[in-house]
Amino acid sequence: MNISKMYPKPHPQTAGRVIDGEAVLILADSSEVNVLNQVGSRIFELANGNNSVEEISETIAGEYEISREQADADVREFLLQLVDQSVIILDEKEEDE
Amino acid sequence: MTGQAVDVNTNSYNDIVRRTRDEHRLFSVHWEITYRCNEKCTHCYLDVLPPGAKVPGELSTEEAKRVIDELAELGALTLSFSGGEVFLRKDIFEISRYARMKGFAVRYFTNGIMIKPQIADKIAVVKPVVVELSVYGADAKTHDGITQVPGSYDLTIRAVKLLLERNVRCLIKTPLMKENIHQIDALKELASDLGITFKYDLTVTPKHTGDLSPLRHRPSDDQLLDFLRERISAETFTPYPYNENARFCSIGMNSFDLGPYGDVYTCVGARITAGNVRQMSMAEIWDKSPVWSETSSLTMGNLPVCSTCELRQFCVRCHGTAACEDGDLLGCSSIAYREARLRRKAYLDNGGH
Repeated sequence: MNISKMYPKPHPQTAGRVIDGEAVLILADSSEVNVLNQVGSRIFELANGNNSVEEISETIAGEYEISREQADADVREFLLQLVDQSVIILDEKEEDE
Repeated sequence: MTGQAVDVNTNSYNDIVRRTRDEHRLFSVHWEITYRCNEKCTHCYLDVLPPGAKVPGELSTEEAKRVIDELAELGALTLSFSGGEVFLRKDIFEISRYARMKGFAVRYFTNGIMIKPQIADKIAVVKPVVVELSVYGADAKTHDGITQVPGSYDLTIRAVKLLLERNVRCLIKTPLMKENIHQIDALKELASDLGITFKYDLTVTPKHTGDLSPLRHRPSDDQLLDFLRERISAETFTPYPYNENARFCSIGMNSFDLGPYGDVYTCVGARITAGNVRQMSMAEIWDKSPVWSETSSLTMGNLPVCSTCELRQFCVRCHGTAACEDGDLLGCSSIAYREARLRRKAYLDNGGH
């Protein structure tokens, strides 16, 4: 699936906040409390419905000084894991301001 | 690069919660969304109102949503809806769903007696982290005697079952009183049979109005000593080491209590008012009220009586109870002192030294 033009945003039933750069999530189905690692937290923070997947990759590539190709692959893989865990959903359109 | 997507790291979570305490960042809110209740519990710390009472002062749905927006802006994560009885608010699901949409983890504290299949369905849609149901006895006679509502035990247990059928996580909790402390094993068994967690506490406090009448329901010294002797020994209990920086709770640090009329209190126990959301923004209350620093400085070393008390290694006090029952936020809590005395006796009786 090509998700690069999609806009990830938090799943409405996942409770989560980014606190000091670390995303604390409470998963809706299990009520488990989880904490994302540093890069994951940054991606979760950017997944706010206003940034497309490719825009998130671009930001991550810049901030972590990795190649765009690597960022594309890692961000995509990571976001799809979050989709599987109902942490985020992928929207076709950008969030209305 | 990103590693495992979701890092199940309890230490990391605890670190974050600790940091929110240390840095005075809001993390959790206990919201008494109504003082109306359909039970009349003998020991209740609130002066509850009848279920059908007209309460024009309660925050409206729109005001509640604004509060949620402001709490989200402050970074709070958990929101516990309590009462009174939360499900007497006709808009509770609209408010809850809004809170979930804003990224909050929602808890409900309820007696459960309004939870019929249709309500249970709605709760399941909200996907709360947990529904905590108050059970006051291991049988209908004990429970209904405390709630003063015949049939309430059966309705509460039915609620647990309806929620579990819908995969909603539940627990039951019991304040131990002279009427039910002898049933603790039966209560544990009840929870075990239902497949859920059981919590208890020994806290029976004055009413928030200062009325001391609930205190007559506290366990007697003999009851409490028997209870503690079964749980405390040299093997199972280590007297608390003295630390002048130790706190008894996180009052003033990363949480507060919000009342139905918009008053923000330091906590449920110590109802020190920080402001009202109708007069100030939540950020102003959280950032500017002096009560947070005043209460978060309540360390062992700053409590003149406690810091030199012979029982300090056995004592767990509630500042609010000290203020409400004994008249001094910084002074000795007589009920905590009694429990500490009995805790030490149980410890010494069971091989401690």
